Amino acid sequence: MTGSVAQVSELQSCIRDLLSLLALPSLWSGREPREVAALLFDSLRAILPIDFAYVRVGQPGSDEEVELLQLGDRDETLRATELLSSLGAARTGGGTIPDGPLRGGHVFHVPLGWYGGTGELLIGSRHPEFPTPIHVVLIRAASSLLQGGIQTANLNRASVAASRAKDEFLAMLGHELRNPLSPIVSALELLKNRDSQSKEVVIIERQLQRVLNLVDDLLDIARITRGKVELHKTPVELATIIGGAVEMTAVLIAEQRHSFSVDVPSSGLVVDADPMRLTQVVSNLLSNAAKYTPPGGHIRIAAKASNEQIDLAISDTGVGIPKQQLPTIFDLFVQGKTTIHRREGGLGIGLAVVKNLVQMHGGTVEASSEGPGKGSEFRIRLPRSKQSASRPPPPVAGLPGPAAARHRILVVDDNQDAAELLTEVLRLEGHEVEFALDGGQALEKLSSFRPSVAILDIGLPGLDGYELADRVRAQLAPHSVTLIALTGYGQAHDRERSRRAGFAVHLVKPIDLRSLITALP
Amino acid sequence: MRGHFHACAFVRGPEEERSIIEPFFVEGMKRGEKAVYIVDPEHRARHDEALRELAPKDELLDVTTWDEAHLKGGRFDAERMMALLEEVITAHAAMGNPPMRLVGQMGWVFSEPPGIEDLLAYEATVNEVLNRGKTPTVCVYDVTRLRGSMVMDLLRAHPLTIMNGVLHENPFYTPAPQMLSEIQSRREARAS
Repeated sequence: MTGSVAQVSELQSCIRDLLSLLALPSLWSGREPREVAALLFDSLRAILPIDFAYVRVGQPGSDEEVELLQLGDRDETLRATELLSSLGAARTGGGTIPDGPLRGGHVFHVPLGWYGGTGELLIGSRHPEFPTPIHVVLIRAASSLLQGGIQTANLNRASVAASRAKDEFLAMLGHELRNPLSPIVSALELLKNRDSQSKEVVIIERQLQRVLNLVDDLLDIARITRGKVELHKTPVELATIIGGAVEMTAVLIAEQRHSFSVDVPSSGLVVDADPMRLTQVVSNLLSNAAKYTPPGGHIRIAAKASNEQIDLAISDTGVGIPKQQLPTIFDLFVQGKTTIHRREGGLGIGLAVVKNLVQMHGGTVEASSEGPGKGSEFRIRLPRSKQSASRPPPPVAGLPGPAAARHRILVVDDNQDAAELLTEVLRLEGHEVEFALDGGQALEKLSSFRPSVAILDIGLPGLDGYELADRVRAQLAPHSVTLIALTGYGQAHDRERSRRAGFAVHLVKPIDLRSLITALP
Repeated sequence: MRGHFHACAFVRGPEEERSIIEPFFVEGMKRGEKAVYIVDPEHRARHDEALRELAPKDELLDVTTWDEAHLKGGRFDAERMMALLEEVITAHAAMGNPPMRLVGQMGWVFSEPPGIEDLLAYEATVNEVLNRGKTPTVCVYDVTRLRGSMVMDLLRAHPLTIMNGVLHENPFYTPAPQMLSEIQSRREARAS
């Protein structure tokens, strides 16, 4: 009877340990294949008297193998050849281990994959009874988990690589789209100069702005997901942020004839934020509220503070969000069945940008809705700043009037349309302008045309904008020239590189012509 | 739950923790059961604010920190902690209150404070205290930071576990006396 009781107890322990092993896959998430093996070996050491564990598994579609050898809890993979050879025939054929640190012990061998072709798992022990039937059961269960875990890790790795490739593609796409947009913006300015009231011009301007917004969103999400967005945080009043966002969306809200209420204290709600990025967050939400609310609806912004955090809510009386869409509403490229995004156009990026930027500010954002037709509310929580708000920047200057000074300007851009159109715009502003399509042409021009300003595309073929800047300065010396960079890249390190190359101004395509004209000396 | 009141929750991050703990506390508070949440001191204010919005009455919520509970005095003292729990649970019941619901974040274990070697013994033995007081309790571990052997030991010591948001019962969990005996054997084996 005692034997039976002992056996029952042993079986119960085996079942308990088996159930525990079955819980291990929850640890696999985000792990590399070798880490999965190490975790499993560590778990086995908690339930079995093992002294040695070894796995070698091929990777599908690759010549690489996952290999890990542990002696006790020490990684001895580098000694694998030596240690495995010490196992002798015991490695696969039973019997005691003849040599090495496990001399006198036993090995349990499990082939992995079809006909052992994929790899093997070896578990060794100096315990006199190893392996018992219970040990065998647990090791076999562990080998199944190990194979599944390594496969999961490989799939994760492939998924991460695909995601990275997607992000790189988005970034490249955004930059490539920016290039042709630059001359379109210039052409539109020229058209407006000729006939600003034309219906076609109005339509082109509106649609062009939509395209620009889409491209900006694409570039934003590509930068955010690659961790390339830098926040320039400063203590700022929430009211200032909201004021900026309302200004950006006022036209859209007015066009839709929505009523609008703001319940935000004018001071006392300070957050440590990048003003431009947080304004972008709020304007994205306001823009969505305006677009997804039938004309004549109502939008409300309200904010309150507690000791530690600030609560901002943007609500509307719009089309609402179906309950099943709420959990994924902030996911990238989510297109609900009710086509909440598709109906109004868009790529399903805006809310993903909102969530990422809010999280980068240490906050959270949630969406709620009673359902279709019942409006929505987006609630942002941000940590409250312990500092007072910095002085707000001076108001942005109004549109520039005619140029105060007349300049001789050289435009260099390998996109002929962009070069010609920009030249024409600047001539209309009263400047004397020549253009060139590459560095060589630009340097030739300098022999007969001495500019006081040179606007250089950085991404020129052959001689790039940085090198051309050096040559232009050298050729024009001792006369000075103001250098303006045109580029699709606007990160802090890009601007710093321009500054070091001697550029006084760094403009990101598609350039805002008003900014360019304002930047002229 | 067959008379068990102590569960171990393995979570992957604060969002998953919140999805498990919030409904657990809210259900209890709606029944007049006090919610006691032992958290990372760095995030105490955030947890307090989030739950206070959901509390029907302020006095039903108590958010404290592991510095004031598990690590009081700068070390983990298993006996002191169990005595504290017993005292709090008993005092609470003596006032005629329904049993409280306890949740303890266990992130402090990764700093390996003095006394950490008694954690497993504590997890095994505290079952008795919580069962006697019929106090539903959840210990929350970040599974992404755990070693495999620790997961196995925690699973063995808990009759109830929450994994991927699902509650599992382990009918063959290791009772405290057997767990303590195993721990002692391991220590002796390491010493030799």
